[in-house]
Amino acid sequence: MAAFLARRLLQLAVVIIGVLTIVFVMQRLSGDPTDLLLPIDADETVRENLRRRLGLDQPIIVQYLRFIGDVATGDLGSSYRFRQPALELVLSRFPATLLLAGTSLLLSIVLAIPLGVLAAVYRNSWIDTVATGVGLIGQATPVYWLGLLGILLFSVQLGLLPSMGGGSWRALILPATTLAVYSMARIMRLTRSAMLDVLHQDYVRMARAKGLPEPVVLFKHALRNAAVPIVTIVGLQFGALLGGAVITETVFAWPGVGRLAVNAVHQRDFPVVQAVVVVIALAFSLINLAVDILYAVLNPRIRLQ
Amino acid sequence: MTSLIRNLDAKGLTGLAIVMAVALCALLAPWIAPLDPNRQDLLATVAPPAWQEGGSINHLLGTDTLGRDVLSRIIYGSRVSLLAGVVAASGAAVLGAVLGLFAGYFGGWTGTVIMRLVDVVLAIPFILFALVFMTVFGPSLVNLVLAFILARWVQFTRIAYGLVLELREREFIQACIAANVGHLDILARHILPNIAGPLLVVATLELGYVILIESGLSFLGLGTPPEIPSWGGMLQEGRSLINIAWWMTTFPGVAIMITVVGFNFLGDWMRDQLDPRTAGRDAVAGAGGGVR
Repeated sequence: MAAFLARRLLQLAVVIIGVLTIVFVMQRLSGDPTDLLLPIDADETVRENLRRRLGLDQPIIVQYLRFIGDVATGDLGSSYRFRQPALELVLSRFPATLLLAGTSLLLSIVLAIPLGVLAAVYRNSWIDTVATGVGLIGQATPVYWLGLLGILLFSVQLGLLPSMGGGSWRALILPATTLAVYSMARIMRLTRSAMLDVLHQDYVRMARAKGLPEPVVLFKHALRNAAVPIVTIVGLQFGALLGGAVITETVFAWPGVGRLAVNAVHQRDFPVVQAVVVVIALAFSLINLAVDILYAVLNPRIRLQ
Repeated sequence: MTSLIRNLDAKGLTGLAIVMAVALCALLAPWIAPLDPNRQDLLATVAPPAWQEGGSINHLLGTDTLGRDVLSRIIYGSRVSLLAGVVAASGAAVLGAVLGLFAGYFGGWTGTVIMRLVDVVLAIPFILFALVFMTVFGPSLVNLVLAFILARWVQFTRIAYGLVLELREREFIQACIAANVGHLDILARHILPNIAGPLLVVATLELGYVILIESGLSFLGLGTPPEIPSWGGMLQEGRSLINIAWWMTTFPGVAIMITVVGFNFLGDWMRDQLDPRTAGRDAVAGAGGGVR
């Protein structure tokens, strides 16, 4: 287990350094940062001074290493617009995004797994038809459009829920539900197919043959063995939700990192966008690490590889 | 090909019909659309659909704030969606397949580097990658397509890599190597045809995904410019009028949904044809979803 953990941590480090490298390359491609920081008619000597102060006169490899070092100490640059550290800005908005994505994930798991199990058990019944239909439409519908329809129905027509802002649990309902639809569809489809795979297995037939009650057969014997692919997709979906939150947050004016990033793109505030990417990639990688550890717990064979 | 057509079930048929209908709309927009999508009718702004009170038969699905015909704009909007989808998905497919073929066939440190890069790119949700790309190069449709190619090739590389690893050990490939057939020949003539099917499936599903993403970024004002009719752009314009003009936000979304359902059906059906064992199933590695 220790060797397994060490190898996974190393992989995590490689991924994060890779992400930082991509960001660094992109940043260098974005042209001379002094163009953004200084007025167009700035004096050449002023420009030269700023370049020296930012370390832009150093060889590229030195700049790269300095960048990695800065990130390692938590310095991701300052927002051009807000004049405050980008990381601080992102971290202050991160809990809101985490709350939104977490609620959505919980919602989609709670709905998707029972529905997927039922669809597999009653294959080709009306439940299966409904589940498959929901799955197909859920995967094809733009999240933000569902959000707009939700606003139209629940806020405009019925006046039941607030259409924007954060802070109260009622404001969370619409964004979390719309964001959950896509993940629910995917988790449901996968649960269904994973269950279909295991329901034919001998150990399930055996469990039935020895007279175990059906719920025990389904949840203890079948679902547990179908869990590995489901856990994988749930881990991946969390990343998808963090990304999907970008658009949902904009629709509902939810005060998270997604809206921060979109506004920063419009203002070409690179440090903020960069900090959002680094924070989310790190969060996503840590979640996948957790999933892998969970795997090893669920399936002892993996530990020995 | 004929046997494929004979195997068309309800799902495949629906998918094919939708995709062909959208393609026809895109190709023949000037002849199908009832009106010029940019023609402003200032006497009939924000008109409801024909069947509602105040609607007129001239504007079946109503008009927007400038009196432009919603139906015509939806028909023209299919051009942007489809063009972006086809270019982006095929670009990513070519890049991803080539890298996957090399990584799987030659292995070694190039293979390792390519597959590590795949891990890295997979750790960034695509929408964020697109945002970084837009910040650097400016928001535009071309940049959106480029960002897609530069980020989504990994979906193809993963599939190609796995398949090539398996194929490489098969006898017919080993026989080619023993017979001293050139590596490029083996890759192009013996391996590529054997992995083209699964790659086509991924490409079809990715195409639906590009359409979703394009509309989403256009909705955020980071994709197609407002003067070109696009589904996402229409939703963006309709958003501020959501409480008075439901048709402006409803119909473009329906168009997106139907189109993406079409591509997903087609992709699922093709996957079932390639591997009947998984018919009606879904796989973790299945494309289209994953990190979005």
